[in-house]
Amino acid sequence: MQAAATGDFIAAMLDEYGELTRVALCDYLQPQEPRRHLYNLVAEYPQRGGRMLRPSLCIATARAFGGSLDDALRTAVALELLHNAFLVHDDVEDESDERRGRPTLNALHGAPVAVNVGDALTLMGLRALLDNRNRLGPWLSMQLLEETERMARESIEGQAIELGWRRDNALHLSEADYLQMVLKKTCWYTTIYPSRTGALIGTGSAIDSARFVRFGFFLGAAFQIQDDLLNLRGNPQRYGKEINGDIWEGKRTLILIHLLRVCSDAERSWLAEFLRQPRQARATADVERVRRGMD
Amino acid sequence: MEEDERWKRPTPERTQPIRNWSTILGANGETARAPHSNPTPAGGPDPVSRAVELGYRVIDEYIRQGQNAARRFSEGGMNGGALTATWQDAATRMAQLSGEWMGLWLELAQRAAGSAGMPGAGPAARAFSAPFTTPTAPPEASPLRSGPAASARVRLQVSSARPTEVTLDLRPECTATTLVVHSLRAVDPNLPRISDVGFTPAANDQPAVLTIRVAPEHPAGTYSAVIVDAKTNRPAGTVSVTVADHA
Repeated sequence: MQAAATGDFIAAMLDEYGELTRVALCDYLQPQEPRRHLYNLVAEYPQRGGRMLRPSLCIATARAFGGSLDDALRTAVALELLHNAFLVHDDVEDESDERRGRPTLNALHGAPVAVNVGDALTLMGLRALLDNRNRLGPWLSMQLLEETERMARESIEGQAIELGWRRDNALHLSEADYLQMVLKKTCWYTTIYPSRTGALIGTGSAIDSARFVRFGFFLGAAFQIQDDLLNLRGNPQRYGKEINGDIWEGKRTLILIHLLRVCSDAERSWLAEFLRQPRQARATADVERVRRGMD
Repeated sequence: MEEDERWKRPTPERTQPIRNWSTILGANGETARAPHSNPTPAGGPDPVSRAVELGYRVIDEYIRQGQNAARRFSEGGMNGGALTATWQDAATRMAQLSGEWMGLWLELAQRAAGSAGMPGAGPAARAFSAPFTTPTAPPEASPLRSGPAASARVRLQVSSARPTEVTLDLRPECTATTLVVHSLRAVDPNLPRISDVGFTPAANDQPAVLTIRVAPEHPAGTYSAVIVDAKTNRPAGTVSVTVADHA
């Protein structure tokens, strides 16, 4: 009973921080020219909603360490802008069709326009971080920029690992390989960076960074594994992404890695051929066969 | 509740942090288990315990690498010459490591193709294809798998009927002429040890050889041991072997 009440309280608090971030985000998404091929599209993903998990975690951590909400708000906004920039580029790289219940930007407007929109969102995120200078001072603002550079680098490296697996059709991956990829690709920007920057803001910079890496890794890995599972059996309306999309894209999820390890040699050969094909060449029946194998 | 009654926090379940020597350093193996978790079942570690243990291994290795990089920076100071030297040294060591591992993979692949009579299994093609060392497949390149430091070249010889992953972690300062390793043990004390393991010392420009033989009937699991420098009687690293439960 008490645990449920605590859970409700945390959810309500994160919702509140998310809503405040959403409002502050509007400062950076003002309509301006050129609208049709840039600024209207820049606002597209943020306006589609989203859980605001990352900014909420940043603000909550800052407050837990004694900071004020206003101290953390610009960093939270930057995080959400950068997250949306990653999503736009991610959709292009994965050739995804659906994001937050609607067609992706690349599906609607083509990859060149979508990539440019992603670049714009990245720069807007940097703008929000630079705006920290007035409230937090130059030293702490520079610390936050350095944290952001580290986070972006780790995320890009993680993305490179995963894209490489798909490009090279890697079949013999271990759980440790998966966790290392998730650490870089997901954990850094979903949990490690928000909690580290929140603590930096709350304390004025005195944190034990390794502890936050460890905490964020376990939290982020749990988040990613749950996301992998929701991709297979989530509610399409609530999940917001294409069900079985990871199979269509040949993503090396923990479930696929496990399937590749335990299936028979004949099944593995068939899977290798399936994964070697480009997304467009994969058939619905084959995707369903992989899905059944995962059960 | 009366209107003027003060709200009070509920009595906390604990008033101090959980201090546990076994987890204070982010330990792995048995020590990685949460203080309140259930004991390991007789059949081996449960999936959750294995996942947490694996998670600790991944994150601790990642943090260790970061600390080493930071130490190299601090030792080199912030002057350009020292930094250049540090990076040049790192690049040289990376090149040496790559060369050693490449040679090892090719050798293992050739041996595997030869012994198993695999038609068309070219060594270069097979060399990067499998995560486990088996009689028919050499290990895949993985950033998690620590290669030996440049000062201690070690060649692995693994004999196993089933997929087997070997992680070797040697301290940079150790020398390969006096290394000793005893039986590898699992977290579960009921599992038998892998005792057919040993070092052949480095000699005549040849690297030391770590030989591991896993019996076909050996239970699946992760087995680890400390590598000791016989000269100083101090730990020089660790070796960990994960035997998969399928052929």
